[in-house]
Amino acid sequence: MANLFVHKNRRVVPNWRSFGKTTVLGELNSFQNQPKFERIVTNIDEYIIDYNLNKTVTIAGDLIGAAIVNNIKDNKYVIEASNLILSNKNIASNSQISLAYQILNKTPERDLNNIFKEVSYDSLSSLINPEPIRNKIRDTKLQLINLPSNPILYVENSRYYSILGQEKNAIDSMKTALHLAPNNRFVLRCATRLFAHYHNESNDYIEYIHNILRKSPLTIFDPWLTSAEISIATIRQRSSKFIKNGIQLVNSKNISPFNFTELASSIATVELLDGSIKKSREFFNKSLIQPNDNSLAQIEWASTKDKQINLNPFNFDVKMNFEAQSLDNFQNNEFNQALDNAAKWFIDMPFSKRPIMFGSNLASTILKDQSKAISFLNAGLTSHPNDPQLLNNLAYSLSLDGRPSEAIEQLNKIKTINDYDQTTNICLTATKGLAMFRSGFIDVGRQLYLEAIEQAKVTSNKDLNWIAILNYAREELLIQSEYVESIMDTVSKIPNNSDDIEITVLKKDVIELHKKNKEGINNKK
Amino acid sequence: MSDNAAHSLLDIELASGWKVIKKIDKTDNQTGAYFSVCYLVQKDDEICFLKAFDFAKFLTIAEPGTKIVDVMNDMLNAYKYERDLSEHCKNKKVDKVAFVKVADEEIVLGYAITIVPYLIFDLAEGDIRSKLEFSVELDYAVRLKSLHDVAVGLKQLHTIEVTHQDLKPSNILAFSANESKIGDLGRSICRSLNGPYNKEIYTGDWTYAPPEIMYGYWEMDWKKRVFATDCYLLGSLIVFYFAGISMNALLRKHIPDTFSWEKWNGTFEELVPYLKNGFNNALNEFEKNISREDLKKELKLLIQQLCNPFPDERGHPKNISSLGNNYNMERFVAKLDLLKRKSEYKIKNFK
Repeated sequence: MANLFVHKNRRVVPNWRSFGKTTVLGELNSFQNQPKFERIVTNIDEYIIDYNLNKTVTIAGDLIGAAIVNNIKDNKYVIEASNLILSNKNIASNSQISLAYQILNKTPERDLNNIFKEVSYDSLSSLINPEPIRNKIRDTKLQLINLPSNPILYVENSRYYSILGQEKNAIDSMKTALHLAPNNRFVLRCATRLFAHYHNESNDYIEYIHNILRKSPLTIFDPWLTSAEISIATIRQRSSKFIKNGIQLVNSKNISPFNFTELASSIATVELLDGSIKKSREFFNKSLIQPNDNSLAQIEWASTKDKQINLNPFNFDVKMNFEAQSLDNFQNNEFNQALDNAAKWFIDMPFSKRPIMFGSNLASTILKDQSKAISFLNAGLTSHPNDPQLLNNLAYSLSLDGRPSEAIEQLNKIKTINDYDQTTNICLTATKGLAMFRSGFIDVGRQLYLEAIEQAKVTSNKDLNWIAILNYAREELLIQSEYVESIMDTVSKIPNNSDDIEITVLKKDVIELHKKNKEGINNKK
Repeated sequence: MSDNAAHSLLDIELASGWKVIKKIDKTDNQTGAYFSVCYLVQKDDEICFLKAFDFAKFLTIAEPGTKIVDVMNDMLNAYKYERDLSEHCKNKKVDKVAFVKVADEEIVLGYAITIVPYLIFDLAEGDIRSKLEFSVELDYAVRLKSLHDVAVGLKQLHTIEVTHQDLKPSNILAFSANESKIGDLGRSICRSLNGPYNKEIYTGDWTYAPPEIMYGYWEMDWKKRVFATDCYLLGSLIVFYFAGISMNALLRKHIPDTFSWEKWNGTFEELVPYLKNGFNNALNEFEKNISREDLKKELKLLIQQLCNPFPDERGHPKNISSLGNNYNMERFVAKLDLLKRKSEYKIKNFK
């Protein structure tokens, strides 16, 4: 059976995108309201006079250069000079031509939403093609030969490595970036996401990044970093020493609402987990004044914990808001839209497993579209090769799609079952049972299913136990075995309206199948 | 504009023996920022360039709140500084800088202010912008020859402790036989002369100012600051010769608006990685403007060293790692000389 997408306690860990996208989203804006230094305002009159006296490409180049430096792009002579350059491309330099285009707005600013318009689950595998990512790593390395102290390039490479699932390279690259720029918001936030992403019981990544965040002199001033520190502290189940300061930052009137949206959301999450619902709502409301995609997704998650929170993420003009939209679609039973947004969510953050788990579960169990689920899982395996949960879910979908030998092939890639958490072990046992059933080895399949059901019962994981029972029941029903009635008896004890929609859907399917089987038998009679 | 003496010199034979033969429109003080009127003057067969100081201008350019006396003082200082600087540089083998040939004054009767101080310079064929053609590969030798001349001129000035501070394409004068000279020392700073701008952080054109000035994180050490500025300006000039836009324009193109000098309110430390990244991308674009494969790498390296946005990392690495002035021009002069010769050799062989 498939590993579930669990709406576990989500934290406001910074999202990690390319430097260009992060900049366009405004997450690197200075949070200070006042400039440290008043630059002398310059005009470009002298350049205009020169241009009017001598309308050559060279002097036009000097004028448009002065225009961009002094941010005077809409002057009529500047526009004229840009056109002059473009109508004399044969004698202009590449930089003059591209600057002229920029001034005439012929290279509009990146519309991030446009990039995602064409993304759907059908194109997932082709969009996660490792070759262009490897080329980007090569290009970045070449650039680093000339400028080895550029931390942004190391962060970019770390991200590429994480998309390819190369954990060690990703970590090494990020550590170099941290060494070069230990107090930079972009580097620290990306590092926070990376170390949280690869955090597990066998490493100390989360302690490592937490120490860096705590020691950075910026964390106390910069709301984007205060928020990251609070999130990491809560992952470590520690109380953050920055909460009090964070509350002051949110309540001070010196920081714009967009700059404190994640911080307010982090504080609200801590309050929610501590049971202070009133305070939690207060800070979630503050984070909603001008939210970003991360704070919206957090509130969407919070709405599953606090039913008083009622949010429609589509009412906010927030770019790259795919996670919140996907979860909202799901809660409103708009499953096809939810799947579409999950694909966008994954393309936005291709190193992340959550959109894959969410999308594949949704496609496989609720929409019963195994090819879409397989598409999601194959895309996810690029960044998480040999991940037992993804391989398990792939094997599950392949089995349901009538390809049990391929399913067994995937399951064989998993080394030792006992290395993983109990839930994954139970799912792997059940999925093996399913593959055996579908391969015709009924007894082995049955044995494995019963083992999984028993394990789930021992761990007191009710939902997992029910899902195992329902999956097993479906297999017995499909072969119309002698055990149908006894297993259906167990199925009848599972409540019809579970909190988990997957259980509800599975149960409904099993009951319908049972009904059809019965009708078939009666018809034969 | 014939209501004041400085504008009425045409056709006059000056007391110094020079005949004023033409008024030049371009610097007719249209911007209000400067107070000079320009002419062509002739003596025997020699034609030169005359810059007359319009001392009557103080009445019109004094902005509300500024005292007329101060404006007059600025004008006098500017005139005196250019004159004295020429004297300071005489006989010091500074041959790649266009200096004052004659500094004198003329009395023109019939005006409220009758005295017109003036300076006469060698006449250039124009500024270097009139000579640059970006599409012509053969022109590389010409460009490198000019840049070498400029670097030599800058080195000559630095040797006598003068920093130019306003090196930009319009201040590079082109003379016959492809010779270039640095012009307009009006904004320069000379340690031993009490110039009008000695106490200012930056005296040149802000459009060309180095990033540390644009963002306000300049070096407090005066000497380091002014030499670092000249170093950047030379690099910016090289960028202009090949990319047709200044280093600042190229850098601004590659710095997202968020981090631009007109928007950034954060600290310098926060800015460093973004500036490094923008510089990295600017260098990559600069390289794309150079069609000659044999010059690409070396010119890019020159820009990387001369235009590094961080003054501490600016200059030749061997100068940075040793004692003395990080911004010493010697190695750059040698490099430009080598590149110039390479290009000349290529043209000769091509022919």
